[in-house]
Amino acid sequence: MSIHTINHDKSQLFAVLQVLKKYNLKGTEELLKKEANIAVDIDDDKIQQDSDVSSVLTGYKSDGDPETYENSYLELKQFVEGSLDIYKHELGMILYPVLVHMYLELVYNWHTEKAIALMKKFGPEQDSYYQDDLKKLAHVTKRDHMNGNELTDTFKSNQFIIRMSRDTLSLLKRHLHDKKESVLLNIIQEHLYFDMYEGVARNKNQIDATSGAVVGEATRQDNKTKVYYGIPKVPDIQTLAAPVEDEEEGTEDAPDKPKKKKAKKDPLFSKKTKSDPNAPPVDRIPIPDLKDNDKVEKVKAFREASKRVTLGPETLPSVCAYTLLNANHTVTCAEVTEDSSMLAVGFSDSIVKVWTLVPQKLKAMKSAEQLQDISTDAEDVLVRMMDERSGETSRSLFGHNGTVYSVSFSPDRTLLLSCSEDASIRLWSLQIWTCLVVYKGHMFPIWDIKFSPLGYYFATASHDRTARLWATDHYQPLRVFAGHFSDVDCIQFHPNSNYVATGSSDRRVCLWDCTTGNHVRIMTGHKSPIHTLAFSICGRFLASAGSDCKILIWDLAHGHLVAELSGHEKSIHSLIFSRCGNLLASSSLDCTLKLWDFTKLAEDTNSEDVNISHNPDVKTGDSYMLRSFATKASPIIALHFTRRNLLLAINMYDGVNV
Amino acid sequence: MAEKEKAKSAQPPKNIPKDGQVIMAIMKEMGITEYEPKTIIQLTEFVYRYATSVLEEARTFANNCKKKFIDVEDVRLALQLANESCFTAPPPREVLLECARNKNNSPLPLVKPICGLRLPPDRHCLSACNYVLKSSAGKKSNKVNSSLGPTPGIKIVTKPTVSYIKRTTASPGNKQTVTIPKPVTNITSQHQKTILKPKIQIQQNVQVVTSSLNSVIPMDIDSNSLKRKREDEEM
Repeated sequence: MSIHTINHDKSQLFAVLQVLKKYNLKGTEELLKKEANIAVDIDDDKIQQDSDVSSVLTGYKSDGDPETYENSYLELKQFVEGSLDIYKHELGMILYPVLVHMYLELVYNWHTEKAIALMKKFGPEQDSYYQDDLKKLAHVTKRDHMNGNELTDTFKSNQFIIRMSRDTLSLLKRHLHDKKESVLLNIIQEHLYFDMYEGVARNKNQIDATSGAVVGEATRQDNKTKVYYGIPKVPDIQTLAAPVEDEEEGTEDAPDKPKKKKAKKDPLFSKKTKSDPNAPPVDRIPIPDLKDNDKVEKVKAFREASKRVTLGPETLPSVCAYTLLNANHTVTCAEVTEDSSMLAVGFSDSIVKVWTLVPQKLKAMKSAEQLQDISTDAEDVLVRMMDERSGETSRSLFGHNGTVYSVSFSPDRTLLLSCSEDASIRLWSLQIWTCLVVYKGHMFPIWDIKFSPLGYYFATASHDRTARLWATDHYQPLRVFAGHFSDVDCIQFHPNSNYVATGSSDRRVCLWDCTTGNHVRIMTGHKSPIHTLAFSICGRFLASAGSDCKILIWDLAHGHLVAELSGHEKSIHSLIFSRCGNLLASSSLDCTLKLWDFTKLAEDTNSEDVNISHNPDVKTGDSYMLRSFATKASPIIALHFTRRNLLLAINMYDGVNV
Repeated sequence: MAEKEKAKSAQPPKNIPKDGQVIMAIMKEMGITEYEPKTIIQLTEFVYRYATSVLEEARTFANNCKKKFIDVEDVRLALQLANESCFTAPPPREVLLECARNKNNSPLPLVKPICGLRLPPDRHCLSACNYVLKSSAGKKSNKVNSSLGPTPGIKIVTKPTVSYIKRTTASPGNKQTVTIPKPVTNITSQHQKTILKPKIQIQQNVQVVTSSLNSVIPMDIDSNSLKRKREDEEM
């Protein structure tokens, strides 16, 4: 013990020596050595170990007396409990970070027993959602354990953010000023950041709603940028449809003798869609032009949409479930194409399998010599291009080196992306059924991948704490979204493709702008890692859910939490909005599928008067739940609404471990 | 992350060796309540393997210093090396933020108006040929200087064998014709590279033996260069 103390006394001096050496200040160096009586010129390496500049100058180096920590904490706790009820809960928010930093300081300065005693005494009385992190911290008992530990690094280098009203903050400041506790004051000044807001102090429920993230809540500054959450106006489909249907040009004022076909489509297209003030300008991000093929597809989609069943509390959707047998230990992910024609499943043995869900089989393209004989002017060249005899109900794609964690179809159904634990992304062609490109960039497993709703761009979320935006024709990522404190677990594109939302193990949901790569919204409130995200059809709301069994709905206009839907008993792995936007479906590992009334929720939100600093009331409970469907023993891993609002569910069944 | 907890209640600790019981105690302390019995075996094996490899490394370091017994320093060094090689952690946040700042400074590149499959330059795709056909009967060729083009050598054999490979086509919506030229290759004993000649040569009824094929997609049939046009604009 004594050797350590000597080392620590000298370590600061050695650190200063290092700085001087770095800047080549030889004169000062000699002087310092002489004055401080450092006679022997000790090896650089030995000094390095204990007195690394960064570690010495870190906030944790403290000469405080270990005995006082416990007393300071107790006094703080008594102050909090003794204050007025309106301020009590907000003041109570500082107890957790203060305890954590006290603990880490004691551990860093080798007072292990005191640290363990402190944690044992005050740990269990913290909020329930902090218990997991406290348990992880309790395993760190020596300074060496702190090296490379993600949680301690996060706490060490980042300030814990607490949002406090002006009154509460002044109360706290006054108390600290009176007490003049050096240890406490140091901790609070160095490691806590108070984001002040004007208004009434919050009550316990409101505080609980947005707490839970690793570094506290989000500041007002984080959520200030304007977000273009609208959907840009679709280009006039009539002019696009005209070449397909007949020669006449379709205009808004229908010609005198409308043909039967046109009349059916006119009401759909003739309504003048006002440009949404919240929609981004069309050229905000470069978007590939629509090819003729895409335009035909769009017309088809519109036609199907007109036949769509509008869902609501009175008309619930039918659910068609596809069960993967013998799946529990091998299936990791599943995805259905936009038109519900194909299903792709990723396996833990690195295989990707594609099945067809419609009578048309999966065909491969003809060989090169056969392709030469096709005239490219033919109307159905796309059909002729495929070899009729090669149709199969399922095809396997081999190539990855590790578990495939996520798959994503391109909107035009010709490409499939898969990401895996081997840190690579593979682009597969669904016409020749081979791998086209391997995108390398991440160095760690990639947990999620999504194609943009317009095709061309795709985004990945990885263990290396970044999410990246790629384009199919660039071998390197276009944007790197860095800022999370832990793995990024899931990622989702906004319907207008301008923004990307990520959910992470640091329990925050971030919205990133594709043009700048900066985060525009940080939303805290989840109490455990987030597994799934879904944007509403209108683009204004974002639903997120994870291991804490609650679905949180966020209003992207200001980043506020709007609702907290509870009802599930185990972690939720899939969320999806119906095509009409009225219903939200969620499925979880407790083998149930629940439907929630989203129109009612949106109406209730709109009726409130909200501005940027006033938080709306968070609606909780399960009053919005319409129905719950249970399967016997097959958890649902993927959900998909067809164009006509039929709900497809992909679930796994393993007869062995029932 | 997606830890799908395999729900199986822990077996009562009877008939399990001491190591297994230690592992179970550790899991209990970490708060893991549900796990399959297989995991205890896997963890015991990992612990054993890890400890053995670290100690073996420490032994090599001790031997290097001609010490009789393994020292704490040896173990420490072995641990450090094991940490750096096996348990790499993602880069620190500051580094990531700096990287991101650099990357995000450049504006999003415009989408090239060329249609068809939008893929990176050929070097980064998997569309190149990855096999070579062995020439029949191992005949060595004499280099014949051809006057037909910039590239030398057409081997003339009695038996022509030409094979085709599948290609990805341009999107038919664009009404581009896709032509698959019959490749003409240069065969020498070591030289593996294939050179594609323009189409006119093939129509001259020269019998050729193909050695390997290049699967480049010509985007423009009039172009003499059979590499994808975008190669010129490659970044």
